[in-house]
Amino acid sequence: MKRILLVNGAELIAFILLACIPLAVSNSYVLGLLTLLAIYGILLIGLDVSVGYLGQVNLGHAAFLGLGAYAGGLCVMVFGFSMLPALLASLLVGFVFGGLLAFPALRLEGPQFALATLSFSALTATTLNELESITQGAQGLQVDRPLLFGLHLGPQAFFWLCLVLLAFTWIAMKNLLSSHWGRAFEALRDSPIATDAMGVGVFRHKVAAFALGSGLGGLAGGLYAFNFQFLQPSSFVYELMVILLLGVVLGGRKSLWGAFVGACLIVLLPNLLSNRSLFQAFSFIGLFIALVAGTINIRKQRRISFQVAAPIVSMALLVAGSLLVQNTEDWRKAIFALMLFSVVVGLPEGLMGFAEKQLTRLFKVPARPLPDATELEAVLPKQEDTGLLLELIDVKRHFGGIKAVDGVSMQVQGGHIHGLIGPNGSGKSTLVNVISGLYAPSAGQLRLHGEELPKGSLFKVSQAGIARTFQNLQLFAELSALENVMVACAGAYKKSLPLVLLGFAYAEEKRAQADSLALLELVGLAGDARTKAKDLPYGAQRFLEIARALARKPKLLILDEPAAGLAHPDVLKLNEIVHRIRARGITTILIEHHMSVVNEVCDFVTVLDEGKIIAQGLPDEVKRNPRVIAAYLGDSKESSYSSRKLGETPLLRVEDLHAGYGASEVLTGTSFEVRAGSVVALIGANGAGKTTTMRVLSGMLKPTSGKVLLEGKEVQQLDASKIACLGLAHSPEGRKIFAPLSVEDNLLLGAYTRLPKVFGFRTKASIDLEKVYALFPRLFERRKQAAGTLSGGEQQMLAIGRALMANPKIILLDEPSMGLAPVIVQEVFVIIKKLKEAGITLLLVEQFAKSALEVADYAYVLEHGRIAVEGTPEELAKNERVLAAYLG
Amino acid sequence: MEVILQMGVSGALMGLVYALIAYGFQLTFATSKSINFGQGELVMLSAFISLTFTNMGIPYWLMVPAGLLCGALLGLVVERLAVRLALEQKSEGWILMTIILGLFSFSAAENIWGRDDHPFPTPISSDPMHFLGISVTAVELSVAIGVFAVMGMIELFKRKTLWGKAFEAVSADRDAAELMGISARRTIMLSYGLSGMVAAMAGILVSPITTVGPTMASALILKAFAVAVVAGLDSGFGVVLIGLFLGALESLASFYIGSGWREAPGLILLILALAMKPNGVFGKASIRKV
Amino acid sequence: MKKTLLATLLLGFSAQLFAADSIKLAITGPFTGGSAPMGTSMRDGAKLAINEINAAGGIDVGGKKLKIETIERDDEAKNDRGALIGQELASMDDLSGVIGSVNTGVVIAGDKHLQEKGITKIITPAAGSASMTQWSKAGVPDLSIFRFAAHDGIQAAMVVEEAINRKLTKVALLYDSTNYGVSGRDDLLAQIKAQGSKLDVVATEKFNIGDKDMTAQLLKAKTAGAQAILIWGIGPELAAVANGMDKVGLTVPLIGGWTLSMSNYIDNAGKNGNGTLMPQTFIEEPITAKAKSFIEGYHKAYHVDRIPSPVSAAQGYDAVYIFAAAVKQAQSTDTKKIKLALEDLKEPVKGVIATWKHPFTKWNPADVQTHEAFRRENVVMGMVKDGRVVFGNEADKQRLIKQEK
Repeated sequence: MKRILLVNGAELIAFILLACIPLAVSNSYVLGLLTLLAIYGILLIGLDVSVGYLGQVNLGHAAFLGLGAYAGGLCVMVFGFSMLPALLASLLVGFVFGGLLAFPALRLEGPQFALATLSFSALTATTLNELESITQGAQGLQVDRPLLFGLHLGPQAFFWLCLVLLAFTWIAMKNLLSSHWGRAFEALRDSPIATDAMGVGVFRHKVAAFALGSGLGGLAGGLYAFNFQFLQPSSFVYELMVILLLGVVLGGRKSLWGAFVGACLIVLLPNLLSNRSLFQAFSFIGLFIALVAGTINIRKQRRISFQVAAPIVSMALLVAGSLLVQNTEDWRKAIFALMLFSVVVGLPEGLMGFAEKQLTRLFKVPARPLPDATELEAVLPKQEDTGLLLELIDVKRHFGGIKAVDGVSMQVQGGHIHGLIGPNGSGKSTLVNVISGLYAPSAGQLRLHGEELPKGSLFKVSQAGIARTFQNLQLFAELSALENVMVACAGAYKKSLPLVLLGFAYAEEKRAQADSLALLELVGLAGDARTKAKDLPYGAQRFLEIARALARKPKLLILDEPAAGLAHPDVLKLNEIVHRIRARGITTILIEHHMSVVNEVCDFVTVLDEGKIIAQGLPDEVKRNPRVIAAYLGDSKESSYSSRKLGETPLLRVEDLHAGYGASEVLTGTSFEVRAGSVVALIGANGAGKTTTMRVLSGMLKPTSGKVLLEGKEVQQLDASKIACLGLAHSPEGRKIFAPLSVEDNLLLGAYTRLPKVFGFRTKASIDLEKVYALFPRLFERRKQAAGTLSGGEQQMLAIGRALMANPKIILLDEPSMGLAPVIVQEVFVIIKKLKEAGITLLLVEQFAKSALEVADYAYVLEHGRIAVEGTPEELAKNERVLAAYLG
Repeated sequence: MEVILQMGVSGALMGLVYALIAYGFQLTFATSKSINFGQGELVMLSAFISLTFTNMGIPYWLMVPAGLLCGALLGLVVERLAVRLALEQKSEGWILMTIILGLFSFSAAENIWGRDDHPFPTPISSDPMHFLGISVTAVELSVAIGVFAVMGMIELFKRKTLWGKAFEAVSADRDAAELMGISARRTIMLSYGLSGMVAAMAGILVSPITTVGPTMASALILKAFAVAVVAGLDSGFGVVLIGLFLGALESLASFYIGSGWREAPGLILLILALAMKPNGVFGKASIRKV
Repeated sequence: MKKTLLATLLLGFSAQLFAADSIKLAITGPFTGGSAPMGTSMRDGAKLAINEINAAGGIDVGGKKLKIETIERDDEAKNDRGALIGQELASMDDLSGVIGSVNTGVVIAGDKHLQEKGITKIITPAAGSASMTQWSKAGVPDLSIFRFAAHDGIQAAMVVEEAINRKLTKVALLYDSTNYGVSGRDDLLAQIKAQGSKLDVVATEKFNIGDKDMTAQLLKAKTAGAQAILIWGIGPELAAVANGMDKVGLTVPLIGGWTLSMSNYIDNAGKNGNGTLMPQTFIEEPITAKAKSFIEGYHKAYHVDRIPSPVSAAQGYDAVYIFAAAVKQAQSTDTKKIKLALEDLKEPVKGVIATWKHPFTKWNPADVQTHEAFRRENVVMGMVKDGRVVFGNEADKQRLIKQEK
């Protein structure tokens, strides 16, 4: 009871108060404002669906208001409808046109979507204006207020009708948002890919949501028509749209209260601003709030940022304006803009977003108790399938000239845990992306239980019974752990949308909760059911993704590098979870770099390299296969090391570096140094943190703690472009050449920091260019060609050449051999040897440990984000731990 | 036949102005994936400022560079006030912020220069000339020449100077450009400056035809959006083709379907083009990644 | 919570108006946006009159000199704003009257609230025929809305007459896509029929607000052989038509509604505007002493050397004087008494447009003329000449000078 009062009390009071005002005040102006407020409330709640919940900037809502208004008006004037049928017609017209617009428009994102909706509203206004025979065009349509159950509504009664409809809308939206629909909206904003992969159907939900929001726009339009009783197409244009949009943002997105407050502001502000003294009072209050918020922020951040200063300045401007300007009416739009500017900058979550945060801090609302978890057997019945489950026949996937998957044929047996391993760039992820429908295969066949699998649609593949996790987590960050699982619950939601709106989905909601709890228990997260996914520790996030995939009750589960970035205890937990999954008889494809995991849990292993299968069999067999070892460590006929005595001065020093991405910490205290004139190799298994180290060194990623010293100077907090100016050149993983620019332009840009910017840069660079061309004659031949058209090997040479152009003190070379054919790899290493002979300081990250050790003067082995072993290449080559780091 | 030709040519000449404004969108989209929804107000403000220069007695050929400079400065103001913070936060807040800034500029212009439309003096004659039975004014031709001149100059800058190449590098791969020592933030500023300059050019070129007033750009801007999106926000010279096409189509539609429907074909084209080629007719498709 | 707070605030502020000892007159109109030149000129003209009255000590009501206090509201030419302003004004208990409005839609959406409360309103400077005919259609027995503008019927009649007098037979109709333009088209067509269908309409073309390229419409008119362009529209698009005519080589007279006298037409059409004809209620020429002092007063007060819309300014000015006369006659600030006085003004009011003798009579739903001040003889034909509007017919000028004497 207390809960209900706390949660719904404010709403109840607000509605009762609103309903009572006309009884206390008999003022037609106040009544007019209140009526408009209720209408705009409905309108903005509708707009919030697309702007807030879908996260799209919708500039078409004014058109739905207009369509609804004309639909309602014409139904009354032409067909003599009474109030309720006419309003229903308005709603339906908004709904249908919303759906029709959504089909093409919702395939777009961001600015394109905004523009498509903007065009739609312009088109609507034109059409309403031109269809003079129906709409009376610009001359306007006079509308009579229709009867409600035979009664003529006066201004008061009409206001109550609007208020009742607002209350209905409010309740229906609340029901919808607390159902699986609301969760789906949140989910598809956080990760559309995962939403599709969980079988929810991004597009379907988006279209439905947009149509619903538009339907509310239409309903508001009907009320608008019967309120003003006069319609003109020019009322429903861009200008109104901007005001509506700003109302939603100002009030606070993703919140019914926000929409309501937004409606209050846009209805009342224009009228308030026409009174000068009132406006002066408001601007002073605004300045005061901005100042208070600013001081709090400055104390917190200890610096004056744009976000703090801008609202204060704009509010100060407003105060100055309110004192100077005689005619505030004339400046109304500017005033509106200034207020909006401060709110959008200072309180990006809007007024209500800010207020809700403060209120929830003040009033702790006890959460509704969770039901008991269902029996696991009921949620995930044990599957007894042992036959052939998934069959791939000669599957290929090419990206341009790159053959990421090049003719893979494999079979996955029912009930097996099937390992899929291979070095970086070998095509594992692409292969599972093809299986799970993210990419359509370029060629080949995929069969599940002998039936053709849908191609190129995550959603359809998911419906066919395949569920997956993602290498880079794709959780619904804003949802709780329980809700994350509930989104995916297969077959749990059967109630149709109207029933959901009316609040009849409570029972199935409870059941889904109970089922999801069982799955959370399975992965050991039952205690964190209410924690937001983004607040979970990294390991738990990985396990949550597994639980979510299991909620699909899949025939085949794909785990894409579940152990990546996990600490050792979590890896053990993962093994435990995979064992439990196996116990349920669920067939699993497991992509993994941690060979310990593969060894422990897999029944069968397939090894990929360069997009092809190079070995298959039991884990132990595969591990000893020479081709597999070569694929991991590099192929080397004779071992010749050429390490030299190291110089004295450390050019680059790294001290106790910690860094990571979001919740996952990749580097856990790395320390090493590179001395001037030496070649240092950084080796280690995939996921050990090599590339992350490089990214921190060059400034692309800021470390959480630790130091990077370049020639004794701390650089860890500098931007990448500054570090580049200090003489550190980074040839990044994946080469990252400028594909549309010519080869020569790529090289010139390499020397950007040293060259004049407008004239004469070519002459000044000519000597360096010649040097690079001498080293890579093939680049000279292709200097005019767009860099994107080069082969992989040539691109790698270009990337190295580009780094050399900077005349740097040190070059970081990240995985120069990745994705290249063995012959080309040899060539690349010849180049690296030449650089070494030229005395260039190099830090080399390489997965082919053997090749790297051949050219290095000194080497470090990275394991779980720390240096595990270090030494000269000769020492390391004999060290067992090096091999162990790769193959477990 | 003559009529079709006349309609097509006058429409296409207007279409070039759409293309020029659309080009301004492309410039900022290339570097930052953001565009200024208040670009129309930028066109209008620059036109008013140029008009003020003229009224101060500055000769036309001096006023043009001064106007362009002011346009560039305004572009920088937009970047600083409306775009930078949102880009740092990786949000799409810039859409709203640029709209808000546009709203402010509109109101300010109304109060500073009045709500009326003013003629924009130009030394170029507005007397019609006749070729092959169609009449064109020198002002219209100057629009065409100006559009190609400014777009050509910016393309030249992008291809022939190292700053320009840096600009292209940032739009090709922002991270890699940073690794070369190119500051992405400065390049984005540059792109907004250029975009503001392009807007000013559009204002100066089109004002003798449309006159200068607070609402002068509101009709232009919607079509410029359409051109930019139909062509693709990263399509380069695609905007010119689409601009010419849309301008001519509009003009022919208003002649043959009815003058009230003038804008409809363009808008329908926009929605259809987006539905079939979301990245624009000349745009590049992107690959989804996980 | 916040909203109730605001509502109370609002009420508080409207209540504040009770206290002062003055005549409260609201001025509404589009002060921003496309129709703003008309709205602001009207407002400035009206305020000029109010300042004059106040400077002279105010109006004698019941032995007490009361000053006029203005309440300004910008309707932005938007109907919903118009409706809200109507409601707001209707809820002010001590409001004596309202002057203003340009856009027909705003009037239709807003005036019903004033009429409900019986608040006196004088519509000026414009608004289409529908703003009065709506009341005759509804057959309201008693009306508090008056109009002080040359209604489109008079203007259309004069435009058609002018074309017939010039012995033209083929005309093209151009109109903008707003309410104003569309109802102007209908008025013109009706007048052509009423005057014996002597004109053959060879093309009927529309243009949108913001259109700057009129080639399509004008080519149609040209190919159809139009001998004159009759035009109805607001704002700078009219100038685009004049310039377009020059471009496509269409050298025929351009005749249209009074809006062709606005500075945004004259300036932007430049030399192409010369010779354009339009009905006018006021020409910015100091032909009489009153006109001279008004024009000079306006120029001085608002630092301009030409009134943006002289017609609007003059009508706003005269409307205030008529309103003031009604207050004086009623000896009350009560809006209902002022209305009664307006319907039967005893003393002639010396305005800048004319000396108004009994401009309004008691409302008769069958005849909107009862609440219309302007007659055919109050309107003259104006012509654009070198950047100014001058008398189109010398006879009109002489007639007005004579009237004054």
